[in-house]
Amino acid sequence: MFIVIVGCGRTGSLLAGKLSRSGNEVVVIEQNPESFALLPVDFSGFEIEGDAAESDILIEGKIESADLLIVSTGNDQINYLVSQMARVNFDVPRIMVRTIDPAVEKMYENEERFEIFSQISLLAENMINKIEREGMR
Amino acid sequence: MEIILVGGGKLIYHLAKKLISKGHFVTIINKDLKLADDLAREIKATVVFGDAANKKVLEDAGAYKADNLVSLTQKDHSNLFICKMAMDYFGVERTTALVNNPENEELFNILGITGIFNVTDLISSIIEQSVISEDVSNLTMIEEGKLSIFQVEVAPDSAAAGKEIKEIDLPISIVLGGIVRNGDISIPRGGSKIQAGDKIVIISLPEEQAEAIKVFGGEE
Repeated sequence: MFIVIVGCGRTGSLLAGKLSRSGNEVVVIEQNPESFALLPVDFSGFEIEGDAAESDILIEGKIESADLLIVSTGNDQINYLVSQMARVNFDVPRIMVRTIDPAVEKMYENEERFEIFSQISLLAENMINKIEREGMR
Repeated sequence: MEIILVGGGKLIYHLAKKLISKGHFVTIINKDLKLADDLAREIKATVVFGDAANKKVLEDAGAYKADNLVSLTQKDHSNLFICKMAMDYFGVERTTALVNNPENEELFNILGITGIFNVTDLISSIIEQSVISEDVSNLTMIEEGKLSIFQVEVAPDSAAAGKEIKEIDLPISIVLGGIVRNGDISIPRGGSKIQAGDKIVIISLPEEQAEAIKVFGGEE
């Protein structure tokens, strides 16, 4: 699968590392070049530095041929703009969006292509995983 | 009409005043505490201090009864988000957004924003014209002359030559839209230095045009 990931923070880099390791073709778009350091050493995808809210940057990331877009910046407003650009301008078939404020989820409701992941449940899951992992040490 | 205005910097003061004088009920949302304070003191409008992208702030501002929400921040993602939130959560029928990146105009339109104000296209068309004209030129009037956009060439003897923008004594309602220097264009910030020979693109009320021309164009 060809996957474009917007935002290379803790969540984005984790996803990019795992998805690339399991054999997917991955492109990561991130404005702050220092964030690419969060990617694991064996990450074999592409890194694009730039503002994903600019069409040119999305095109550079080959968004038009993406099977899946994951929008994972830490800003709900940017996530909303980028995911709407992907849907309307680039017709991406499947779009997963991270939301910070759970109140935002409703804004994506009418669009079937969007799958919403609330920051809060992600965080809880991460924590539970971590607790369980540590419990086995 | 019940109108909510979001952001907009200094321009919002006059925009709100005009709307109020026409009999509209205006609510202003601003996240700059000082500006919100000043507006609350000077204008007969409800002023809400906070981030309009927060649902609770929109609710406090009475979004559920608003007829029109106008989002004038410098960030397209904020303008889109705030307008859509007003539409989806509070059923606001008309929303107006400032578009800073012209590429977004079509997207905003498709997403149902009813009024789109494309600031880049507007200013760049003015700047294109300004290359032809000299000294002061009256370039564009908006809303039948209620707002004028024009450019002035900075005279060597003007009060502004050699100064940073923040040092220049300008009426609060005059907005500088661009500096043209040797054919290059830059967007003015408080720390931008004005030089003689620069062409300044100015947005102001018609009655304050003269003041702006005096400051940049020097005494004539």
